[in-house]
Amino acid sequence: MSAFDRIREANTRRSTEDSVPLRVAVTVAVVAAATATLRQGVGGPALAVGMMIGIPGAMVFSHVTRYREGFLLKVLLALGILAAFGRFLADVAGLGTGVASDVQIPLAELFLWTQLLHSFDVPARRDLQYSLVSSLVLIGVAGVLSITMSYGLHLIVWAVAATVALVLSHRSELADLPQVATRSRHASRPARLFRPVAATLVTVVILGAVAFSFVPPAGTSRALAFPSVLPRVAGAVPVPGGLSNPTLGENDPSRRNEDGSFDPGGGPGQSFGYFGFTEELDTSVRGRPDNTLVMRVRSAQADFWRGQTFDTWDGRHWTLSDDRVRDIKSDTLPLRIPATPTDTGGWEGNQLVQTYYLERPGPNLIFAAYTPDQVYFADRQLFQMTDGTLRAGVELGPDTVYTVISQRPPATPDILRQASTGPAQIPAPVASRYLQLPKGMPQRIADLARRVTAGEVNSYDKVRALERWMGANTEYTLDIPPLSRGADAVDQYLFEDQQGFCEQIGSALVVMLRSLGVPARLAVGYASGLRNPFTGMYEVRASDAHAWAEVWFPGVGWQGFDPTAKVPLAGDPGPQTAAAGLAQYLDLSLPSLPEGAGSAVFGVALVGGAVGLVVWVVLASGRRRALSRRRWVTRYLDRVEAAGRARGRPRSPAQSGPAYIRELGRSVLPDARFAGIAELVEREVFGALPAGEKEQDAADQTLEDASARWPAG
Amino acid sequence: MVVVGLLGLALVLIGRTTGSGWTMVIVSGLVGTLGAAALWPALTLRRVHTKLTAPRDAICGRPLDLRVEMSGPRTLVTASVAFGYRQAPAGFEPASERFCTDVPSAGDLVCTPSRRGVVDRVLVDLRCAAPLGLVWWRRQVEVALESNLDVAPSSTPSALPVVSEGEGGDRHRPTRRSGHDSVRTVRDYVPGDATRLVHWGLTARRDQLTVKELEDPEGALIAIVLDLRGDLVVAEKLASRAAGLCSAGLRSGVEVSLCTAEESGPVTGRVASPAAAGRRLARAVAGPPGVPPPSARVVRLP
Repeated sequence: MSAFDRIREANTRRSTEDSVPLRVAVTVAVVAAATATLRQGVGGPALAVGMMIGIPGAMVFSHVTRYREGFLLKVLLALGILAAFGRFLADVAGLGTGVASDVQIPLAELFLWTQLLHSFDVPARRDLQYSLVSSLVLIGVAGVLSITMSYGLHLIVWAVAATVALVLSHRSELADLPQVATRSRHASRPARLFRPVAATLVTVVILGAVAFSFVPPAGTSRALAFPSVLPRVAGAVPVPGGLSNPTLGENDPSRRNEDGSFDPGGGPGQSFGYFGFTEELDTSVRGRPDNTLVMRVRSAQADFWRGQTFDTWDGRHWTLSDDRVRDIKSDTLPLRIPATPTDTGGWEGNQLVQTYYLERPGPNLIFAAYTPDQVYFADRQLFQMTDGTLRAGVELGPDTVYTVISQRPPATPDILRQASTGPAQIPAPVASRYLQLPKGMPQRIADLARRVTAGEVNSYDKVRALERWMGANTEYTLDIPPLSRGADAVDQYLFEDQQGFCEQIGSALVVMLRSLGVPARLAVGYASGLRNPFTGMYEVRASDAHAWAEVWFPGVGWQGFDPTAKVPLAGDPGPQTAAAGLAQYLDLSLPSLPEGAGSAVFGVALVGGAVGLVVWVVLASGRRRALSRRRWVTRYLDRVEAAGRARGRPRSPAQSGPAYIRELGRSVLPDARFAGIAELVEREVFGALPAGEKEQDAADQTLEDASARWPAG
Repeated sequence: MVVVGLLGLALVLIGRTTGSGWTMVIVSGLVGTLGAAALWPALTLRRVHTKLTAPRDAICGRPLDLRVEMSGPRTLVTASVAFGYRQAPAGFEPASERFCTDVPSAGDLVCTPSRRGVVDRVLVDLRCAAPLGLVWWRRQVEVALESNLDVAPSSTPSALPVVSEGEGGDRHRPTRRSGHDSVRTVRDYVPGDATRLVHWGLTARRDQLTVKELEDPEGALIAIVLDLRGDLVVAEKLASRAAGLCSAGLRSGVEVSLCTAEESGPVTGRVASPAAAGRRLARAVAGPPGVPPPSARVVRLP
């Protein structure tokens, strides 16, 4: 046998699959997986149309030609797959970044092409099963790429179709075996599909929910993918290294002149714009950013997504004293971010990878957890401020994606307590810049700080004492009276209004700490937002825009504190299981319910589902037993009626079953035992007293004997 | 299932390294699917009850219909049956290929006993993977038959050999008593009938082979003495030959007495039909056979 013949023999088709429903179910699963992948930005419209038409068409072609040998087709498909692989290699070579995440899209396209080509040659059940497995891979790829909940719909469709396909595949497999020549009535009916599929799906959902309670949450602690995408429309900011925030409309800092005035002609401000993303933060103005989703952040842990910081306080405004910028440019990613003098750095093994997916236009700030170390940004150029924060040289609009790897200080309460030292340990550059206070600052602010922290020996406990005091004696609100001209915003907040919003609370904390000799600054950015346990993304809304205090600890660096936001310290562990993440999500998503309600909802749903399943099984089992009892009577009466009909004595519509049995026992099937059988049937049907197995057998035997003795015709 | 398991592990790794929560949802779904695929058939299979009804007689190597009734939760199972013989060698002999059936259902299953003997129990090998077909569970159920199934040996076509009258007379050719033969009746020829019994005159008139059934004025009796001690293979061949001889004897109109050994001891008794002979032969075991009647012409096997 030649090598060609051997290849030919190895590719000979196995037993073909004739089940059209199975093929349809697999097709639906494959199309659902392909659609889910296409929705993640893989391929263009041509590929989408090709897949939507091509996969069902290929499946139909495969069904029609399932009995043909198809060797030539296999050769053509192999060449097609080689071509798709060649295109994949060309795409990857064209990227030239060496970043694994950049390969994701070409790889997903390769999967799609392979799935399409494979659909042309699925004659056998085993081939369809391969298709189902490859659709699982495809839906997994789509899951990795997906950042939205809309993927869930595709996943549900795929799961239902895959379950139907599995059930049908199993039935088809069994249909190949010899069948028992059944006599029961229901067995001859076509097998029902809805109930087993529905029951299976319910079981899978319950068991899956239990599994979800134990699987670890998705994380990026050992990230391999570092996506970065910059839309083609991104324009350069007017001043390289300058701040731009078009969402503020006419207050866009990029339109600000030397004299502090703004160029006219700026567009309208956006409802999701935040006044903190500007060069001068006025703490008397909060604005009311709405609930618009501004970005999603993929991160293993929550943190403050910091945009910029301010170091100079004049009693009302925060500004940055040193606005020099460092140009960071590189032909290859990532962009390495040098440490600033106040960054202690050198922490190993506490990386936090964050990928930011922008949903709305915003400032050109590169948000990052402290301290950004590497940035994957498609523009390959960034500007670093003297405080270590980053700005892009281009406007950042929707669909912008960038990844930041931060080196986080291992901050736990114990470490921070040990890191707290006196003024001698504070370097001069830090002290000169971050202990600054306005000359006219009311003395009672410093007095209050000293009074509240009396007895606390380290900076960390002082911070916590001040937070506790503010939590107990002031109130967070956006509705505060306007700040009078010349008034100190912190003094007004602490002693007059005892009400304020995050800018005032954060400013008060910074000012009081500075008065105690603890270096601090005001940071603005976003609180972490809610982590969606399905997408694994923190959903950051405009209302999450936030200002908080950053406190400097020798040997650690900057650590964010805020009594109004529930953001853990860098060293705190996050949720340990996916279900804990879901409970946390529910807790935070249902603000009207008490704390812990999310966990309760999840637990109740899980337990309720399990109990429901058990109850259903028990009830169904009881019903089946009852049906099984009735089945003998029904079957027996059918047989009696058939015997009577065959002997010219059909049952009249008004005649009861037992009466008919008695009549036959007296006429065409003369046998005295039928009188007893009639009583048995009467008891079973009307008295709900089940006939015993021996009684049933005896009745069956009587009918057989009588039928043999008195043959029909 | 292994492939799905490996894909699940890969998804966990991917989820942990990319931060995609959806991968964890898929992994949980896969775990749920594997759990359902494993638990469902295990729970249903243990609640499946099997009832079997066998005919009374069967012949070794020939198919027979076994009535199978399956009750329990609605599912699909595959099964195969093996016959358990009362006589040695102990154990079960496969009697059917694997078949598929609904539960609950009742139907006829074609089985083929592979050897002679009395079947009093059946081993049903049930397997179930429904509804998903990913994890197979197996359960073996031993079902006692309500009435035994007597599996007769397959009959080796034989003509009655030259036999002797009485003990020790089997080395002498019997005297042909053609002068005393009288025809009791005639009937159609069936394969195996001796040529000498063909009634040529009637055959010519009816244009159909017709044979005579003779009335032996002395009440001819053949005793077939079957001794199954010795090699098992040879013993089964002897049993088949005994069946053939019984059939031939009964066809030729003589009375046949079968001398065998059964579990209860030596048995000698007349058999009135091939079916009765089959039952006797089914029950025959290795042991000293019964003593032939004194007046019988004796055929000893071996």
